Amino acid sequence: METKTINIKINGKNKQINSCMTIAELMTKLDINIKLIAIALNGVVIRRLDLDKVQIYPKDEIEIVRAVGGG
Amino acid sequence: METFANPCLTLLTDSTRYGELDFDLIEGAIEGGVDMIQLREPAFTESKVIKTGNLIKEITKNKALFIFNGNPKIAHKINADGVQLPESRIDTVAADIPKGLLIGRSIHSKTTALKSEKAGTDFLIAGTLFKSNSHLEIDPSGLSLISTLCKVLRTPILGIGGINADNAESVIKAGAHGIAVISSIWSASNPKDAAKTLKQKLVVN
Repeated sequence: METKTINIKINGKNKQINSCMTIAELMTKLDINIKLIAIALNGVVIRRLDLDKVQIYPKDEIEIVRAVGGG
Repeated sequence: METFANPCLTLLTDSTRYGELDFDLIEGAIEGGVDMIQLREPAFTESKVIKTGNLIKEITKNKALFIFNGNPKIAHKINADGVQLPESRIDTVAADIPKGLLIGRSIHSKTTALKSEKAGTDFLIAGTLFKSNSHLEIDPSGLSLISTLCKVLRTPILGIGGINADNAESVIKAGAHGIAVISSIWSASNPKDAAKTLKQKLVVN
């Protein structure tokens, strides 16, 4: 069966990802350690407890914030 | 408003020295006994402060105080429990600070400590007590700073600067209400255990 994809933005850049992914799953796929970042979905910071519950929808804008000075 | 713990173990962040803030480490340190987390990241943009502050607020909720070290307006914006002001902001009086925020002030001398109390403060962080990795250029004041301040102030005092499990107890014995640390927890092989050990040292019989 063909996997459906959706278009989203990550840190302002267009990105195509598989549909039905949670934020935690996306971070795993991107090889990003969720204990070191803050993630905002459409401008709202997602609670750490919710990262594996919140589903990503088409056109969502995700901001990955590294909690370190600069950048 | 959350309550100010006695004794109070405070952990400051320092991503410049220890790299990206590890939120799991912060969570573990609170489980180990940290009572106050201070977000001290002068290099962060306001947007970064807001986003990381939101997470720290979530982690600390009902477990520890969350203090933003910086601009009181931003502290209010991120729903911090309080704000920590540097010694150079001695002219910022309590009336200038959004209501509901605890006010902490960093001080290095008896003179500024007395001025701070007049300007309005809920707690003071006094140092540098011992040789510190964060301020290698500064000659430490030693415990005499704490004992001197305790004689003239009513405000709770937390010692800072080079405090570790070996000297934490001496800071309390000198009269401090608690301690504030960075490297003793951030560079520990087991930060949760390090927090637990430090907390035990603060309970002086």
